[in-house]
Amino acid sequence: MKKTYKSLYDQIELNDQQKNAIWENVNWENALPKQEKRTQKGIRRIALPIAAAFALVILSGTAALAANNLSVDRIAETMWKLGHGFSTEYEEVSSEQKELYVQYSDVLGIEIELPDGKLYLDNICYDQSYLNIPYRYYPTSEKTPGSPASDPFPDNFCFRFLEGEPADNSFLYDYYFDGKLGMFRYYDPYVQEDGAITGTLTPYIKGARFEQGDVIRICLDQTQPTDLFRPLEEGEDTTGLRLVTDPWGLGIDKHTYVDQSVPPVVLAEFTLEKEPSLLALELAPETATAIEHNTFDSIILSSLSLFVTGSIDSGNGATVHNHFDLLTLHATIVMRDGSVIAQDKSTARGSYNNSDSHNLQERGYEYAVLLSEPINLDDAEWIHIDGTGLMGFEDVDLWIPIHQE
Amino acid sequence: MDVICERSRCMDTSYSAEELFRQYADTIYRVAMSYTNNSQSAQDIVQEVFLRYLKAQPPFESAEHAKAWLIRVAANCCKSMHSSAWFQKTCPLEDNACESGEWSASFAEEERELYKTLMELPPKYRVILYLRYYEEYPIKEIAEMLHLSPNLVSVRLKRAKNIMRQKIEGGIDDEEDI
Repeated sequence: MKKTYKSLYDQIELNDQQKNAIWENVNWENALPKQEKRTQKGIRRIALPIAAAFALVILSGTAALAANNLSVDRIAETMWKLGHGFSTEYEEVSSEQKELYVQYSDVLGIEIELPDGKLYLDNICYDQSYLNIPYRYYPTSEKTPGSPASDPFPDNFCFRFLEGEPADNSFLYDYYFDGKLGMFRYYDPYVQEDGAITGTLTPYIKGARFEQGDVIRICLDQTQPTDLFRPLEEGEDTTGLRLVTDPWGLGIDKHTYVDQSVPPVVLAEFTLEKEPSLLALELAPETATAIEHNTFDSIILSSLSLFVTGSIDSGNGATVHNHFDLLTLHATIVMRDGSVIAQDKSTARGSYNNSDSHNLQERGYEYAVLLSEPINLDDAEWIHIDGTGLMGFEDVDLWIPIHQE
Repeated sequence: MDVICERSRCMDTSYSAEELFRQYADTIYRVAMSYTNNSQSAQDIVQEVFLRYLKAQPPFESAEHAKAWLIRVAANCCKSMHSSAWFQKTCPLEDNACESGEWSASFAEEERELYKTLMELPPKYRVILYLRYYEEYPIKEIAEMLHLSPNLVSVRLKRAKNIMRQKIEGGIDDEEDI
């Protein structure tokens, strides 16, 4: 088996074309600061927060200040960059598109003292699947405007639901322990004119989880994920210890462990006050099962994203591994005027919603993806899924009406 | 004989970034694949690792030191996979590269089944298996690379092998086999 393992990994390699492309990208990115257009680009002053809004617990123990208005341009720019890359020069979106972003945005007004700087979370833009929080971070040690920026957040910076999520995914991913959300952290590549590092935080969790009324905490973990549990030693006095079995949800682990976790430090918390506008498509049975071996359970569209749940079977008793390509990679939104809105594949997230290793022939799945630009739901007409079948499945050319008319 | 090894023997440790890249890009790619099972994300990580190298330009005592540094950075990048501006491609949580990777086409049936089984393991187990059984690093060095205690590395290794044993008939029988 070891020989097979080595042979297998011997074959996992980059070809020359891939290596050359990566090397070119490395050099290009590395050379960016020398390019005048980049140092002059995207540098903009942002109004500082001016009013108190949310009661926060912060490290310094001082009261937090908050912005009292939406920074519409900042939200639009951040959302645009999410879809196009933070190294890409921003092309201002239309006023109509800005208005769509505003419909999904709210004032956050959070100011947090971190060990090495001050963090401002002014606004939030979210729907059921995507939570985007543009930030400004002012390092204690001042940064030269135009110099390369770096990720300013400590590794233990995280988001958590006030009420924890079940750790049903802990087998595969550490993110979901104790209500902890996964998080993508993006930043603009250069320090802004006022010395700020800017970008967006994008906490996430499987599924269409974010709902009006959700309370989310911003925390600093005090326990390394690797130190959460340790095996109980034989004969060890268990007085005062928190004992757990199968903490990683493996289903086969019979050992007893000591839970060593300590509560995170809560930096701030906020409530999702807005109810994002969503459109749950009514799926006719023939539509839900139109793709061979696939059943759509739900398709939810917002102006920002597409969210799909369903199940898929391999059709031959074999293990289902991945068919997201078949289901989603070729999905587009066709508007009433005939324009086509693509997915922003770079933000796509998919997962199977069970990890039952005994039934891998049929698996539920969830898939979420941001749209490449915001859409007016009333003007959206079709979801078009097309593509060549994978794994011997039939080719797909499916048109799903967005509105029942 | 590769350039890095030759130079190491001469005690000239001023490797150029491109030399390091050509020598270790595949290693970093495999580490990243072990974590992500997604070729595109793994390529992004390779890119990010060498960008970090260019920014840090750490002095290396030896070729092995350079390799260990790069693996360590790769592991960090994988753990905080989405922390960089260059990582615009947020990796689908499950994207079986075996089905789409160009290199996987050459897998023999046995290798394909092994790969699929491996990819059903949690990423944190896969990378330890890779470092132990492909790169053949001792437990202590794996622990240093991954910022883990040697004990935890051993536990994970054992756990990974137990899972593999259950999934593959005659899979793991002793410390030297997987």
